[in-house]
Amino acid sequence: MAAEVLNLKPASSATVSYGDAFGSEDFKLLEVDEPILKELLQDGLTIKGGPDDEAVLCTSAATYAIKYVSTSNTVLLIPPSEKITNGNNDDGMGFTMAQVVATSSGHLELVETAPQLDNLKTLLNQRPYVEDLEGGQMQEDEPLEGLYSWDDLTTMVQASDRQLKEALKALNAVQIGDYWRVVDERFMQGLLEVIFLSAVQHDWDLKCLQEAAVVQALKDDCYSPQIVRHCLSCYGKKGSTLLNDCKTSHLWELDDTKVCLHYAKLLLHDSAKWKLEEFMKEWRRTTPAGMEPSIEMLRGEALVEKLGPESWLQLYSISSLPTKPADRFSALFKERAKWEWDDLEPYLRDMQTPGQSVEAMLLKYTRKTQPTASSAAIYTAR
Amino acid sequence: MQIPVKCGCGGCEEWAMVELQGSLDIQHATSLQNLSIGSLCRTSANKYKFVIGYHELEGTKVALKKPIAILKKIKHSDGMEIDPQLAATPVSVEMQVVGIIRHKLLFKTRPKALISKVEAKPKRMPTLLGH
Repeated sequence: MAAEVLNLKPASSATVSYGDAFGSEDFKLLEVDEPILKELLQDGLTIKGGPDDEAVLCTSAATYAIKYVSTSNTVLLIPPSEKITNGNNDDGMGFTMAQVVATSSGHLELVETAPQLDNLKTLLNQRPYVEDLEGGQMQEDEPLEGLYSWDDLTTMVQASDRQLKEALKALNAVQIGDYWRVVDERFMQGLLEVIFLSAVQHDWDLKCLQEAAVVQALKDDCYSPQIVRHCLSCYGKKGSTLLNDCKTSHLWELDDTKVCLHYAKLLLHDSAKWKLEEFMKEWRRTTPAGMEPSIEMLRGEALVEKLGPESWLQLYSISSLPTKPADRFSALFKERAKWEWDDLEPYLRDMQTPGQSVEAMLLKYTRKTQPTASSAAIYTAR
Repeated sequence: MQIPVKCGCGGCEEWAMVELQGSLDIQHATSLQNLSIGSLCRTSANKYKFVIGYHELEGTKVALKKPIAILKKIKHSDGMEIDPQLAATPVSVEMQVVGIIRHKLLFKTRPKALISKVEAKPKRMPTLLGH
């Protein structure tokens, strides 16, 4: 029937009528572009959302808001049919039947949108991971509330698989057994301390740590190999693989910025406001030898404010800001009415809005002023 | 909550869509099932005529900018024995693709009213030319 209608030959006709099953089914029309259609037919897609959320459609890599577009036109839907009902009308000409199985008053449209990741942090922070260094072994009968597996997360987080994986990586989350966990900050600090102490003890090069050696040394302190490897991956880069006799061992190069930033964050959590000079002194004192902390590393984590002759450092982390652009700019301007580009830029880095550049967002949410050609541009709320 | 959207059997087949600017006025019928709507005819390469009642519509075959997938909601019960006293059986929902639309016949011009030729009695035509 559909084929007959679509491929109607010139000078031939078809009778269109309501089918005998008209109105028995409720169909939804979903407009998709070719790549999404291909994925839909091959692997399938998923609609995600809680009872209070706006539904989104997720492919393997992207997330789309679903919008309904209505039409005042009459739209008739004719499916293909096995049987071709032919007959002859009075003129002796053959005619074909086309049966309408449903009408439609509109269709659903997909608009690419940023994934909704705010609840991921909340979920994972319910049970930050620590290891029992006294006992050594994880208790078998640990309660399971507040623990989430990959399947739980794909159900509860409105994001595609690829976006969820990227978000977990950005949170430095690790999969322990069946569950994805974020590591408790103090525990991680303790672990790093032991690594640095061991490095001094064994005369290791922090730019060239042998994974097997580190794991072995920390085993004596009851840290599991998995958490040691995870720590190395959070604070370093994997180097080449070292072949030593018959054993291969990965090499790790610790990243100065990541390590120094870790110590800076601990200081800022102890006290949110510091006199800049005092902070820099304390920071240099606590970071391991061989690593030089610099104020550049704090961009996106802390703000420097000049009050009279003194400079003050204040905790202001990008991770505490909302992900949606409108909400983020509103929060930024609540913190400070005026921003210089240099200070503002690090806090815009991770805003994901498909189809909108940073420039476009600045135009939309801020007002730019430049007192003189040579002075810095200032951004204020619109 | 997750609702899978996947291809059902026959899901890749192409359906036809006929779009009319306006609405169909059903007269003298109590149910729609098997009610004839009209006659669709292709007069030339890309010209179609749709006669509905005493109106004639002209249209063309248009390729959709983006294909449309036709989805049907399917509810599955868990298939387990249920104790009627317990809470309702968990129901899983999925959306199945039953067809795809890539083209439509679009009739958006003003309908032409047809003069009926059913009258068998010939009428005396008034002469237009004077003698």
